[in-house]
Amino acid sequence: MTDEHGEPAPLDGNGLGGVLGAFLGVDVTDAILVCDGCGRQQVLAALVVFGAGPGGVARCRGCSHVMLRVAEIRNELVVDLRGTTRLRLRRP
Amino acid sequence: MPGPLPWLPAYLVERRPETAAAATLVLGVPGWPGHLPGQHVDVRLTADDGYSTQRSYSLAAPDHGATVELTVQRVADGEVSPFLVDDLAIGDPVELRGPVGGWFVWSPTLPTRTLLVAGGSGVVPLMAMVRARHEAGAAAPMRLVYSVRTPDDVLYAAELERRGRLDEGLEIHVVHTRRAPPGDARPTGRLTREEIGSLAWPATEEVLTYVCGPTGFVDQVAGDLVALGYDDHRIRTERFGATGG
Repeated sequence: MTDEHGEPAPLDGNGLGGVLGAFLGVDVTDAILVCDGCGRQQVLAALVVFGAGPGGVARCRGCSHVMLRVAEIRNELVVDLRGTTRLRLRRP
Repeated sequence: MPGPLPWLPAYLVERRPETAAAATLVLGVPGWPGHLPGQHVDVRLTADDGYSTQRSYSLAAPDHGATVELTVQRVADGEVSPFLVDDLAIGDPVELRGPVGGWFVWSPTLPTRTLLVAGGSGVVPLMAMVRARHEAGAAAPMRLVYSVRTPDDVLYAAELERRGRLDEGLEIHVVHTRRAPPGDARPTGRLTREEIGSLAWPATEEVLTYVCGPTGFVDQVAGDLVALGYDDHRIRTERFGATGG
């Protein structure tokens, strides 16, 4: 998936719902994350995501700060949350 | 969601051509847990040599038990979509993971007005909402604004025309960006902020809005709605890349 410049086109956080749900057992697309760069609150679904599917990098829609990295490696899910100050989940 | 989402085996039951470049795949999924309008699935294909790849596709119909419908638009240089649209045969297996998404979802029990704005194949999850509203006999008003290149690219054209005519409280507005049908008074071109303002309810009304399409389209429309006074928190968005792969 590329844009007219041959760069990967960004998706949004909805695309990470599958891999996160597969490991966490809850839907987190409506989880609220607070950006460590600019303080903006946004739902996971609204983050700018590059490379959804088995993994991806999610950036703040306000300041493009990297907030979340997700990688599915064999039987493990690795989530790097540097860039996110706060993660708020609703009880399922 | 009752627990971690497993990959479920699914089989192609029926393929319905929608346009020259898109088809609806009806998949049988034993053990499908059900879903809500607006949710999507991850589809995984695995080749004989073990190479595997996956994509996300929106569910086009409301929950009907053990079958789900995906409408897939063929991306010319895509890896997955040409195979799904053209080559997957009746009875062939794929794997599905889902339903995915708790945010970009709609329910026919919502009492508020719903504004749906679609760009291209972004209409697919919104069609699940239109169909769910019809099946539930829901009364709350709904408007669909559907931006599409030409009349030949309109997905679900006949059904949308019928729904718009017969379903009380439902309005369908199709706008063409490249070529309009004969007799269309609207000049071709992209949706403008003024046009969105005239097709949407005033920002003073309570409206829940769903926007789905390519990233640039969604960002433009969501920005226009906020500029028109719509509450950012009442706008739900779903973006896809160039168009899915």
